[in-house]
Amino acid sequence: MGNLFRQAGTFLLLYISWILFTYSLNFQELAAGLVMSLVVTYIIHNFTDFSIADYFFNPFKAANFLVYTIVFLFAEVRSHMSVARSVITGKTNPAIVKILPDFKSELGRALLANSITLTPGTVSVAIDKNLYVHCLNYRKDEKIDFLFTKYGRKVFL
Amino acid sequence: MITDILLLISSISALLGAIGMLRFKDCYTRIHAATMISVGGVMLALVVVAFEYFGTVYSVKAILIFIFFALTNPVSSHVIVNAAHRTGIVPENLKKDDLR
Repeated sequence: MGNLFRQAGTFLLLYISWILFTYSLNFQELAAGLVMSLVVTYIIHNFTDFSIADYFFNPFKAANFLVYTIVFLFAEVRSHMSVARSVITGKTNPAIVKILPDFKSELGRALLANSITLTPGTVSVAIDKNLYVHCLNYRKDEKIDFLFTKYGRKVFL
Repeated sequence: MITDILLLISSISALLGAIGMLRFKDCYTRIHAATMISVGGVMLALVVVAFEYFGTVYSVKAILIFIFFALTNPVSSHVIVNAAHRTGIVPENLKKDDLR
């Protein structure tokens, strides 16, 4: 039963994005979207161990996701300034740093690596159990991406 | 007014990213400049479009492109850097290397 609920979440996400992409309420568009969403939901239901329903139909997690987005925006602006400074001055201080996310789910680790790569100045190079991050301006005292793991744990665990 | 300033910031950050692509020395540091172009340049410009044409089709499509860009762009940068690492390109003057 819970499984059906999760698949309904995936289906709803696909159907809503279909409607937004076509941006019309014509009957033919809606019918084609319905069929396609059902087919895609059936195809991927064996491969995914997660669903959007786990995250956004849960108000606690959705609120944490909002907090995470705001934290992420601030980190983004700060790292843009840092990279711009090192482009102008030409000074870089690169290093490859190991961080240990110890998330349980695959999705959490993938999204954390995505967030780290999306901020300029840090790129995730390799993932096994740990996450290896190449960063442009490495400083010993600064704990790299501490914010991401701290807030990401609340959302993606 | 605010959208004009944001558009100016986005074009400046695209310019700085392009200069950084030329100035930095190896593949690993250049990808940081490339991320700066795609996030500061393209995604900020999409946000400007979404605000400027608020409530129309263009705004909705800009938001959708923004979401897909945010999901797929880091994957491509990660794949490039991971391929460079696997083929044995050594990063230049590292201060610390945990991956060894």
